[in-house]
Amino acid sequence: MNAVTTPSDPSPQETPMNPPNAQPVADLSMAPLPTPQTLRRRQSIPIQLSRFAVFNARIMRMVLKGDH
Amino acid sequence: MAEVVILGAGVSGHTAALHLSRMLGRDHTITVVSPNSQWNWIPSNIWVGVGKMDKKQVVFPLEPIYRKKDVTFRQAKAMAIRPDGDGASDRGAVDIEYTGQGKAGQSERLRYDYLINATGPQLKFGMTPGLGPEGHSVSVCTADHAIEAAAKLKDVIATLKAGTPQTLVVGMGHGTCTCEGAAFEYVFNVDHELREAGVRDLARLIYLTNEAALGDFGVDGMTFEEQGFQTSSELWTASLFRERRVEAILGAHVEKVEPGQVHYETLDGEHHVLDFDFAMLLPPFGGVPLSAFDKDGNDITSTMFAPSGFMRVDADYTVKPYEEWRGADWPTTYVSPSHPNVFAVGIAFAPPHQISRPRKSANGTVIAPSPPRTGMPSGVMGRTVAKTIADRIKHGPQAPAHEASMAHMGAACVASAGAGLRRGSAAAMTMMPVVPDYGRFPTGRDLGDTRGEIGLAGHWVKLMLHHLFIYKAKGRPGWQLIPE
Repeated sequence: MNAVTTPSDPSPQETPMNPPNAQPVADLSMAPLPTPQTLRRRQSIPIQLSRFAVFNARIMRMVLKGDH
Repeated sequence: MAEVVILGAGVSGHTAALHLSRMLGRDHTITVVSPNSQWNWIPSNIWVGVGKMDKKQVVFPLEPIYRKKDVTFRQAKAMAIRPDGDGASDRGAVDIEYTGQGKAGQSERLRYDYLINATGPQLKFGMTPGLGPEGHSVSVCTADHAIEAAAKLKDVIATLKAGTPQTLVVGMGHGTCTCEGAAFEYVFNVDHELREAGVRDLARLIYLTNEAALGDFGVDGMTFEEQGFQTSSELWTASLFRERRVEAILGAHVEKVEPGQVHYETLDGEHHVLDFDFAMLLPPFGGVPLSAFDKDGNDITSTMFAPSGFMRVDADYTVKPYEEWRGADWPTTYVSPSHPNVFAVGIAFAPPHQISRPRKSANGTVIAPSPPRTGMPSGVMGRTVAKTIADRIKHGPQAPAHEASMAHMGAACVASAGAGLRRGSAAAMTMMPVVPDYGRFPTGRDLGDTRGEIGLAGHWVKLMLHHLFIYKAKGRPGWQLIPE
């Protein structure tokens, strides 16, 4: 059984992406996996509150910068 | 007194109607023609499609809103435009056929001084045999489609819980589809549901897309700046897919869907068959079929509309290679080149070309994402055209048109999964501008505003946008302060 990474399981493991079949599945083995610390940051309420504020500020900046 | 007719009550048409009502008051007539009696916040159909939301949370009836705003509503579909009038009058007219209000099947000719075509897409499931709810796959394009998708997903999860492995395919049902962001969001949600149900290990989840590379999203991909380095949306998306154990099949044109099997061709010209237990495949879009006639009744459809059925506006439709595409090719005012009182916004306007590099398979099959023009850009176009029309009604037809090019406006795409404030997650992207401009920015876009983030904050943003945009669409106090 393949290991599964979830936000609550901050221990990403190498998993086989291409089961043996004829499908031309993209090779994603070179894509970086998040570290346990990154996974925790993605769910951390204080950190995400600040990201929420930054994201909204960015949307407002885009609205103001657009020529409309 | 001027009469404005708006065809369509989606994001762009409804936004235009609300702003025109606000700007023109009761001195002028605003009429919205839509075959649907309800407004649908389509981005949240994704949550309906996994059973996290009910239909009633994403739709509401239009007529009471329009009654409050002094907008006339016709539940009807537009059949033909007569921009030069007819034998009875020189004023432009639209032929409509009622679909409700107790007049289903009856026809009427509406006169207008200004016309906005905001008819949105025709869902062209028929371009791929077996595609869609009438065939062998599901869709989340409408709230009812999403309900059916959720029911089928529930069945698959039940089968998985019984210990039988299942293959789930999510993606694009044709080589020329658009809205890759919606399929990306849905696959992210399906993964979340499978994990919550404790059956992810038994499920094979495949993202089948016409994008040549992950992270293309029909906008030619993006460059992000992160911790002092430039990285690509391709790597960012691949990381998410690898982490979530979602497999990706790229550069695919779905040829047909049979019960439990999807047949597709890839860019290398090879043909493949993929067995599935659940398939959510989006359809390609075309323009809503509308005919156009001149004053003498001659058919001028091919003058006003592109072969795709989308209306020609002030874009540069000169055929040229990808290397010569420029932001200036994109329309700014959305006015018809043949009729200055006719506009097309949202999905209804004909784009000058794709945004992503177009590709053909080794067999010559076109596998090229169409340009997205939904959500934020659609709303901005609706408001911009409303401002132009209001100015021209108040100050005369020579009043300058307002402008809003997709080469100058930004957009946000939030792929959010989960429910509640603490258990969700999201991959959230912003891009500025939508159409890359390599003359202004070395990477095509402003690196300060073009970002990708993964985390709970994006989920909050999506929840906030859901409530804000429904509040705005209902025209509640202060709605106009909420940006498009």
